[in-house]
Amino acid sequence: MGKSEKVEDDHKELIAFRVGRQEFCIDVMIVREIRGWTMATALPRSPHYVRGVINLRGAVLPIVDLAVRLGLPSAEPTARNVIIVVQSGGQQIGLLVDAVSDILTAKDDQVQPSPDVSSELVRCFVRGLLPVDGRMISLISLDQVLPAELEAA
Amino acid sequence: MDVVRQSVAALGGRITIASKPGKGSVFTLSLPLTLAVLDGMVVSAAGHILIIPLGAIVETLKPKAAEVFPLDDDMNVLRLRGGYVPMIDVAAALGYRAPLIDPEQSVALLVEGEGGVRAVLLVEAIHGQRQVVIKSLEANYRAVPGIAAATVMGDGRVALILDVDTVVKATRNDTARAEPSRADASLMEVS
Repeated sequence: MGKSEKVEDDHKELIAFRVGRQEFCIDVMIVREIRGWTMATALPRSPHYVRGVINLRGAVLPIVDLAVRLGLPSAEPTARNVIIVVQSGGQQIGLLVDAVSDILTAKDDQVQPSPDVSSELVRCFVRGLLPVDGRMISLISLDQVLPAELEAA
Repeated sequence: MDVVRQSVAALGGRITIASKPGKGSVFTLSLPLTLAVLDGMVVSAAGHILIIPLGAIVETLKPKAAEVFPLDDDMNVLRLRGGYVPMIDVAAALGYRAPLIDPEQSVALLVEGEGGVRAVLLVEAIHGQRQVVIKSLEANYRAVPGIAAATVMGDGRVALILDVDTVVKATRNDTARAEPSRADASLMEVS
């Protein structure tokens, strides 16, 4: 997995994962850990893409079902699913994905701009497209994974 | 000033004042660290484990159908020693499911919220009493209405601590009445 050559400044290390039939990647630097799926405790009145919270070594960690968040078909998670714990702003969030597939090293100029389409998913999350071995991997940003403080209903 | 002192004393803390004429006063509030530990009743509502702070619970009872009276469409009151107390289905108030039709299937907890407001909370079962360590939900997520905080149970799972005051108040205030939540909707989508 991955390439071990020296990483220069214009290189990014990315972690690639599968959600449904698509592959996405995020900057490896914001990933804190990857762990198996454990049952989450559902939160009342939460957005439908928030699976609930889990106990991460004593801290309460919200789990976002990335498939639902990205508007993709979602399935009930099984032991094969993984949670990618990421640092986003001041918060830690767990992202529920199907599997982590690869660690990539990509140059900035390898990342192609995402096509200008009206899809909300593309506009909100996709920051670029990365061709790797004939596959297409979408580079996504996590700024909007958790909504800003919603006024409680 | 006395309100603050009483509230601090109720938490087991103390307040000290040091004044210097012409300069000002220093108020020192000391609160016990053990505040992070809460005595709670472990209950289940719609299959979810919840903790209800013991301090809010007055008594537990088993409601009888003959003592339940409808007040309006979705509000029942329970006759309790001559008085009438509104009944709140906890699972429905949190949006886990639609209100229960038969209150006799549940266990009732008489609670007293802020200002002595009484209500009867309906849950499925009581699993016992336990001291829990309070974990903030806001640190990594955000405040959830009706939930005061979370805790980690012995089996490593997260249980939510019910905010009795909010739940009791929500039923008094129509605008805040729980509409079926999106959590429910997602369950339906999945199945």
